[in-house]
Amino acid sequence: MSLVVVDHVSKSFGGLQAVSDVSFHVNEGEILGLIGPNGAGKTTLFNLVAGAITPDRGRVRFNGLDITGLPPYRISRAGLARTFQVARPFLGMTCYENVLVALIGRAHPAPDSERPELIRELLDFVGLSGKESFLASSLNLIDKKRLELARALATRPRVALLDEALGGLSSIEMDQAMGLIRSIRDKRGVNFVWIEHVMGAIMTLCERLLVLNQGMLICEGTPADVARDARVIEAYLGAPDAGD
Amino acid sequence: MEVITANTKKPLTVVGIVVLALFAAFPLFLGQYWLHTAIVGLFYVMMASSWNLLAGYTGQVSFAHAAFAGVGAYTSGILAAKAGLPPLLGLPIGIAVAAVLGLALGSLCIRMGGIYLSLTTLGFSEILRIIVTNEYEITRGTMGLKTPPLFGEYSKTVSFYVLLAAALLILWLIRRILNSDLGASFRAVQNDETAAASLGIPVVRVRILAFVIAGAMAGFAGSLYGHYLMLITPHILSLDLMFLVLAMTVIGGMGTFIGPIVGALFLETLSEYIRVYGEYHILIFGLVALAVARFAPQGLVGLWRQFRSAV
Repeated sequence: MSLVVVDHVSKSFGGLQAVSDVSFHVNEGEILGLIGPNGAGKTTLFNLVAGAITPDRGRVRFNGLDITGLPPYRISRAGLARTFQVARPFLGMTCYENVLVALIGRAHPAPDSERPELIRELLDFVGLSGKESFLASSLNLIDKKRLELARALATRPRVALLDEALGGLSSIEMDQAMGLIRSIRDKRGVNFVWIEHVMGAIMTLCERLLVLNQGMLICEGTPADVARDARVIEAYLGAPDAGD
Repeated sequence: MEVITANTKKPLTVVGIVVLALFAAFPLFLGQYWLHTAIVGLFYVMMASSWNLLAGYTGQVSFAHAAFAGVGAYTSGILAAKAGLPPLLGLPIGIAVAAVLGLALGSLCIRMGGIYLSLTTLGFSEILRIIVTNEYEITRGTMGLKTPPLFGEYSKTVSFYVLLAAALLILWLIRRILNSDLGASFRAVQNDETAAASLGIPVVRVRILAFVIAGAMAGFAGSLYGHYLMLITPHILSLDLMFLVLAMTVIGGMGTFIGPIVGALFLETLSEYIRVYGEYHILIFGLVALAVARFAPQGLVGLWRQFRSAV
């Protein structure tokens, strides 16, 4: 069964067609990659699914529920989490408090007595052990991203939208982050839609890729198929000259 | 972590009890003049603390807080003066009207942030002041509306204890809210609305609720203050009073629980000493507040914490 079904969704800003007639679905147990050149409309597509903006046309269904036009907090409570391209932890709050907010935000907030245990377990899981009382503003980039993941997991999502989880990380940190994403799927049963520019990583972790260019879905398939597709190569590198 | 909090919280509680006991004994040794100053100080403690809940914890810098106090004061004042309603019954009505206006203004400002919200609330405040000033038949304009005391005969000592109890009630409520799920939602919304919404926090509801709670508290404080003064003038909902509340909060320490209390009592006392310079004290407080906001965003409380951690 498809957890997320995006059905002919379009969105324009003024004269700019940011997303046009895009349809896709997310299967159970999947890490779905979403790639495309800068400005292709990937983040806009995320915002449409997560409810940050409402589509002009088309529907979004999640877990059998029509979530088109619902406010973001309702979509989060339905079980669809997201992270941001530039990590947005609550900078003036501690790691503990950051995760606490997500426990409070649930449709049925976690009971008081279970919270310390839940928060510690989540922070341990993402690799922030012992940093409960650190202010989020004092964390380095990868720890901010870890905190954002812990926070997203605390909402108990079925699907998480990851917007450039690896951006700005060193290669060692990338390996750690990829390991974390894989273990979240395997141990917690969370499915991912993952925007990423680091091709090596996305080719390794994803069974299926979507390619977006100028707001349109131009290709869908396994990493190997996508890498050979003429339209994808053209989108990234430009059309071959007549003289070649 | 538990060890740290136990060590730092205990002496503070002791200090708090000593200060409170000293404060409660004021009528025994203070003259009428300073007792009046203490009562006004308590009014400002309520005003600054409740404004801080809205501005310091949800980031909605409203300039309509004095206006809500005015709504509370004039509602129960007019009901008492014109309809003969006992002030003790007018008080909850004043709170309710302020809360409803808080709901309306909060809803109006929901798509706004920063300077736009501030300007809208400032406009609301001025409109209300102009209406109150001009509706002479009902409010007696700048002449002021005579109101009876809250209950019984007028007594400064009784008024002092009433205001003290009211201030403690407000502070207790604010403390409860800050430590609750709602308090955590306030801070999340202040830090990053988009991220808060993505975690299931109903941002719109949280922001409006902050307006309603802060408005009701200001209405409560204003109503009590009006019945203490027994004469309500449009000054209570003026921007003068608003900026004083702002300066007290910022100088004391915005976004801290203790800050507005310290700021209110400190500035109210100070303004008695520099009263001879007339309205200039508002100007001076404004300049000091600006400097504090720029160089010590956590105010006196922040400076004290820095000092303590340095020692």
